[in-house]
Amino acid sequence: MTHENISEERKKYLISKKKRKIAILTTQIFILIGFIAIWEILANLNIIDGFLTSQPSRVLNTILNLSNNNLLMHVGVTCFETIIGFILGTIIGTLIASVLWWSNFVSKVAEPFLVVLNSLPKVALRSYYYCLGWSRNASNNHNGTCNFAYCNNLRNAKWLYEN
Amino acid sequence: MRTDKNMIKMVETFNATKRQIFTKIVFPSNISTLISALKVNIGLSLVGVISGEFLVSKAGLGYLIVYGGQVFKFDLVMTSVIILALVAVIMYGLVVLIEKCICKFILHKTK
Repeated sequence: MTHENISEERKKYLISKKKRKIAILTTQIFILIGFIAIWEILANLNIIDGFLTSQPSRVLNTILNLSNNNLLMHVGVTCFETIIGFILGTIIGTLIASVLWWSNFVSKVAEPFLVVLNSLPKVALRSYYYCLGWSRNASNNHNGTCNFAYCNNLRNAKWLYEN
Repeated sequence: MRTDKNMIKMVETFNATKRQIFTKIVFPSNISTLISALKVNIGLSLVGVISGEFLVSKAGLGYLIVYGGQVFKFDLVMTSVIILALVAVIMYGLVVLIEKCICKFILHKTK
């Protein structure tokens, strides 16, 4: 679309659309900054307890003291675990979905179990991680997570199976 | 999106094996479902990781949150939560990026 064959009305419309977009973005940024500013000011004035709710400036301080509390390592570990759990969950979930689609018998057999597992709050299964966590290291989280993501991927499985 | 039943019927009239039905019809038509499931799951797997780290771990943001709460370093807790939010946003962005790549690839393939 070239600029020559745009009518005046169309141009106006486009400009108003762009303006609206900018307005939305500025409002969002404004809300974010306002929230942080109010938080900081209230904590400084001791209206809310800065010790309990922390304070943006202190958060910034903590982030800046990266080497002090090894923050980067913790972030890395969490990312690593999440990605592994995510990928494993996706692959296992897709495989299970395929199996369910493949065999009518298996899907009929598994259906009540899937319904129960899906409606069960997965957070309640957390204590089960203890059984997995013999060595109490980060690796058992991988098991836990893929178990978790896998449960949610069962939903994915169901969708695939419904077709 | 569900697979078109007529599509399967049509392929069956052409004597397709079950494997062919799966790889040619069912799987491609369900990729959009898969991707939307991925979008939900990236958040849920983060929840899983953090709640797992609350219980058993030596490192990670969930560990940091619990540790900070136990030694009354609430700055640490808040920082971890904020970093967690950032990480979640970045990961969601990555998934959206992957989705775009897959869409491009598939469109390219079907043309």
